[in-house]
Amino acid sequence: MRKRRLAKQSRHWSIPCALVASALLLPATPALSAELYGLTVGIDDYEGTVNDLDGAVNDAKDVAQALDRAGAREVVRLFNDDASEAAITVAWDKLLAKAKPGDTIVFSYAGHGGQEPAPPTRHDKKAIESFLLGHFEPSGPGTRERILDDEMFAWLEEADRRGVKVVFVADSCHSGGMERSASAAGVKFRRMDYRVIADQLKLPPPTDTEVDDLQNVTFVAAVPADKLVPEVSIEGQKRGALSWAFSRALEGRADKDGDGKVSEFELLGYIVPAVHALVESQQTPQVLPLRARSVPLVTLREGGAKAEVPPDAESLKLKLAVEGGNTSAVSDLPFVTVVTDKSQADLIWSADGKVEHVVGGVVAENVDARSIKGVVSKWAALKWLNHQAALAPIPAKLLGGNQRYAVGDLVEVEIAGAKYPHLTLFNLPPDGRVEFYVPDPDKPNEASKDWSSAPIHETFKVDKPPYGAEHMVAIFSKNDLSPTCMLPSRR
Amino acid sequence: MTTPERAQALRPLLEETLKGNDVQIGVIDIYTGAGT
Repeated sequence: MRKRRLAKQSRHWSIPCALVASALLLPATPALSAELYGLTVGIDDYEGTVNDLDGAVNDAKDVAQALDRAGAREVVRLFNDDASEAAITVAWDKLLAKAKPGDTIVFSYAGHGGQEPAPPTRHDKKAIESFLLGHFEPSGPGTRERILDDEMFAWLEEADRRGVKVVFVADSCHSGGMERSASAAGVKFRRMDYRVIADQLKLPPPTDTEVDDLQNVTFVAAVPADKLVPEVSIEGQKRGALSWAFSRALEGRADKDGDGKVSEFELLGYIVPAVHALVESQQTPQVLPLRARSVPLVTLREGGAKAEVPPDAESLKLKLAVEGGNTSAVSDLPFVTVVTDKSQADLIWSADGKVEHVVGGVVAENVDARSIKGVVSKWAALKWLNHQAALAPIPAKLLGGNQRYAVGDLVEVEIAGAKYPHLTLFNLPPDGRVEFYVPDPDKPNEASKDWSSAPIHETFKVDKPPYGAEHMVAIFSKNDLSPTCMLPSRR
Repeated sequence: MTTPERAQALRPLLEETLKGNDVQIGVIDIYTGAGT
């Protein structure tokens, strides 16, 4: 992809940005005396070892800490063995008893999800989704260690009836595949397949209430129902991207209008691009039900975002695994650590010349010992840049969807919702080169342009190799960055 | 400057340029070709 084919600004808004924009026009409901409570569940340790996860407890701890920083009155932490069905039920009931109308309970779950056929008596649905706890087993007493969607819904419905707001964050998945059907072997997904025999869990009765009927409940899911949630390395730890982004949202990153509250629209407007930046756009969080009015979810304690601890420099180095090749070609590269364990890698370079991102798929082909330096250096820059993007993202998307584009295809890019006027736009092809688009020295009339005034809509054509992963980078800045001569060459 | 040299310079240049600046960043990943 080399040619910037069109350069126009359109009035077509992405849905999240349009929603955020409309949210800004509506007054937030005062919640001066509202209290914040938290229940964070994280499970890495499952029966046996084959289903163990690595990042769910990290997620639960991070969400809990963010809730503390946001000023939560009480946060209940339940990890691994402590997160039994009985313990979660008791913790939920106690928090619900303490909360008064207008208070908020954040309930986060990180662990495996599952899906099973609905029993013949349930004519209203074909499948039941579940949250699987550490001592879950598919038969006998262990079947009680799962929370079914109907049971969870009944809990949320009760809170809704009492006027208590609930934000339920599910960093798990129940079925499906990845956006581009790509991921390296060894990536763990938060879904467990099982078939229940001799079930000892009693199903709650069906309800006529729909998610859309709940006025006080917001459901934040890591992915749509048919997609998978991978565990990825973030700041040196295995994590679920949703929990990381949700934690930063609670620390103030999502408070776009700076009013000290995070609304539903602000949450969606932050977590979707933040998660995209962390997982090569392989998962898109969902917020349900999406109401046509601004709903403040959480009131933040002043200074919450300032409590963020920056990651250490080592954790932002690119981890490269070399499979059957010569590591000496990359051993002298700054910002790159060669690892032997593929499960710890961000990128895998194989002897056949393919370079694969652990969740993104094949990002470069025909890469030899000479060209690997450019490819890996690009990804080292990208790892740092994506982390910055996850902290301060701007919604950007491919209008043609998150697919693999063939030669001759047009790629339509849309970027909307910028608050800063200056734009730096460049493309990073698979081989490590830089293609600079904005500022364009051939278009001096753009020098004083306010790029935040309308959404940006650009179209490019995939016209020649190398193929793989390209990254279009848009940096909106308060100050003009061009005098700092950011890149050594624009062409 | 060769492509690998330019790519190696990219990260420190970005860090230096963006340091202390108020920014919003969008990274759009575009996968091309016939790979998996």
